[in-house]
Amino acid sequence: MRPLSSQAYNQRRDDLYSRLDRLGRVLVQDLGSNSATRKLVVDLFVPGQGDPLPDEVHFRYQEWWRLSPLGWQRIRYDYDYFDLVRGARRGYHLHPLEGGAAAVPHAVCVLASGVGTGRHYAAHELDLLAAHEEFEAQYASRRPIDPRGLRAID
Amino acid sequence: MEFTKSFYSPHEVAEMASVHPSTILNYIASGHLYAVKLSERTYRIPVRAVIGLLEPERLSRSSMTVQPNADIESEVSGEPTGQAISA
Repeated sequence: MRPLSSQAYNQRRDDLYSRLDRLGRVLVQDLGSNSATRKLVVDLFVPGQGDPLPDEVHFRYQEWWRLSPLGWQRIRYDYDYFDLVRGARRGYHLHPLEGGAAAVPHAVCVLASGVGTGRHYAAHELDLLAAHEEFEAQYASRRPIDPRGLRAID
Repeated sequence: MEFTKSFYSPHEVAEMASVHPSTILNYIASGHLYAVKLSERTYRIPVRAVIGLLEPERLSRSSMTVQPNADIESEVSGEPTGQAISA
């Protein structure tokens, strides 16, 4: 992902807010813009309307950005989709894995039974919206989270 | 109006809104109504979008918080940048 100017960063943040607000109740936190490292936290609850419709999913997207000469550079992310009904979790992350120093893009998939805990699967680096669209389609189609098609890397 | 489902089909929303289904499909195509596209001809409209269309005053509020002086550095200190990884 290319570095973003402060203006482009804010525009992307606002666009994400508007986009996700159409699906559920969204809480966006933009933290640390006055320092060299900032963080974007997006919590999206769906349906997000409360009684009589309890939340079924929680999408939690976190990004860490560092200021470089080229602008704001994304250095880490945790994009997670929690199925609150079935108790499963699917995610795409970018951070160092245990024992390593370099950040590695990977997928995670943990079922309600605990299967998949601590496992990492191969994945390419991707943007928040790409991850969200995949999660959103899976949720809307009522397909349960499962590790089908994922290749373990540890 | 009672909203009891997380997603509705365009036909269901058309019935609730007392309009022809093609009107709902036009709303979706124009971006006036949000829908998740499951396949070429299948859409599911989230209840939030349905409420926004029919009873917008009932929508739960989203929010955005900006804290420019929050300290995030400690969360990532010592970590490499993602740039080298994506190369």
